[in-house]
Amino acid sequence: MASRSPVVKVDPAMDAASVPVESLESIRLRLSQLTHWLNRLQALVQQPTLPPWQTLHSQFAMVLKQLAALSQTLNQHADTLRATNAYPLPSFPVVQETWLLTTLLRKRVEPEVEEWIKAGAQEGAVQQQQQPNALDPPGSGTTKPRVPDDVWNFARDVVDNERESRAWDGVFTGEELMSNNEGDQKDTSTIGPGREGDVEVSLEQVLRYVYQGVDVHEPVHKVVVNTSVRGPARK
Amino acid sequence: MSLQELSLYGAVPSSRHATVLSTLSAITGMRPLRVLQHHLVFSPTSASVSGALHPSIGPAATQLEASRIDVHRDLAGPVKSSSSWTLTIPTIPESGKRNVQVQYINRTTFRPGDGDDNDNDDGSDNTGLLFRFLRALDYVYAYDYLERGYLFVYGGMVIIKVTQLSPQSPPQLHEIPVGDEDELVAANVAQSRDPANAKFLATWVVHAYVDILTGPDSTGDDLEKVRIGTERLEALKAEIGGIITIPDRGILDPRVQLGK
Repeated sequence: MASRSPVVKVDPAMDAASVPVESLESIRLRLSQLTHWLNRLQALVQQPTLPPWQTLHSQFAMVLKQLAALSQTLNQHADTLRATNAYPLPSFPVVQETWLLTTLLRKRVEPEVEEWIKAGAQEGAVQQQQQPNALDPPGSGTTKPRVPDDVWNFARDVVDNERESRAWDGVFTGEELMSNNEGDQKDTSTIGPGREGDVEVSLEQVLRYVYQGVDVHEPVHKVVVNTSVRGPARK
Repeated sequence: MSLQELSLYGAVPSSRHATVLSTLSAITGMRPLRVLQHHLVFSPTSASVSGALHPSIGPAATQLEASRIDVHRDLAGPVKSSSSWTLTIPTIPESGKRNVQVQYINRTTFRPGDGDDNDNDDGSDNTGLLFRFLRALDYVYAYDYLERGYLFVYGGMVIIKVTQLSPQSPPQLHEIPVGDEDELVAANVAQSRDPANAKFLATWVVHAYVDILTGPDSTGDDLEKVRIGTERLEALKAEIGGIITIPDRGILDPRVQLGK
């Protein structure tokens, strides 16, 4: 097979110089890479136990990357390819290999591929239509909605309720304010078991320990002052 | 260094300490600094009352009792022996009705001599020296505790410490001649206090204080500084909604009765 530019040149021998080798070569490279990664992805998916989603995800990302590279290469060589025509040399045995010839030279795509292309084109047209109206909430109009409106409303209600049920400043919670109004704060030597399994001690007990060495768990009746030399005072 | 310390104290149960920390962080505009300290408290013995230990600054000049000494150092560094001990000698807080607590304290940093060519890499030598120094002043080890938590600075003057304490039981020693006791206690205390395994009290103590330099080192405008410091503390107290207050001054009395 050989190709030649639109300039008509009657040349029975193959004109090797006019074959766009670099373009074809780079496209072939991209295609082979894509095929390789697609095969890998297919092999992964067909394993008896499915690998973790991270592996699949990374493979999928590679495939997408290869696809992007391929489309970029095609774009790069678009002009050359547009001007390229594949045709059989006179020396090709047409009669015997008719089927092969038609297979290789066919430009029409398969029906399902045609469907995909049509759907993609439609999607693209729709997206473009939506571009000027990007500020409208999605889901308005007859285009395919991403998140329905009522989900957004529901979310907003939930957030509002949560926000209003909490006070965002101050230090005490609502329950503590109420209980503090009733109880006497100074008097507590045990407030209940703390998280570390230790009894909560009062400020007076802690400070008394720091300055005088009196055992922290000694309750503060009146002021117990430890003036002994050795501490902590043990009773 | 003679200081006049204006303080307010508060206590926060552990269930609410995260809230208090974030509130303080918002008020002061800074992320908290971590604090990890080891405190040792020494008591004067009845052997003799050394005149050098009576805090000579402030109205409480003639005391018949001597104060306990609190010695502390940072444990936050990688090597224990790299931080030096700081001595604090507090007095009983001033009496009288006021908005903040006033307490005179003396503070100094204890540095081992420069000719120290010991090549120990644990802190035992440093602590042993400390014990011997205090023993020479007739102070003996009484108890110790670990302190860990956070530190904020408010208004450029007020230091706010939010810490938990872990009281340590004093090492039990049998009959040991007086000379060796210090070394053993020092070694025990310096090495066996492990912040990672210590049991901390569930209550967090909030201590907001302003330290004002008085005495011979002061710059003469003490009263002005006291006034400003008091104002800042009161502002802080208003801002965090009354968590901090003034405890009973008898509790903070560090004095020890000495027999004659």
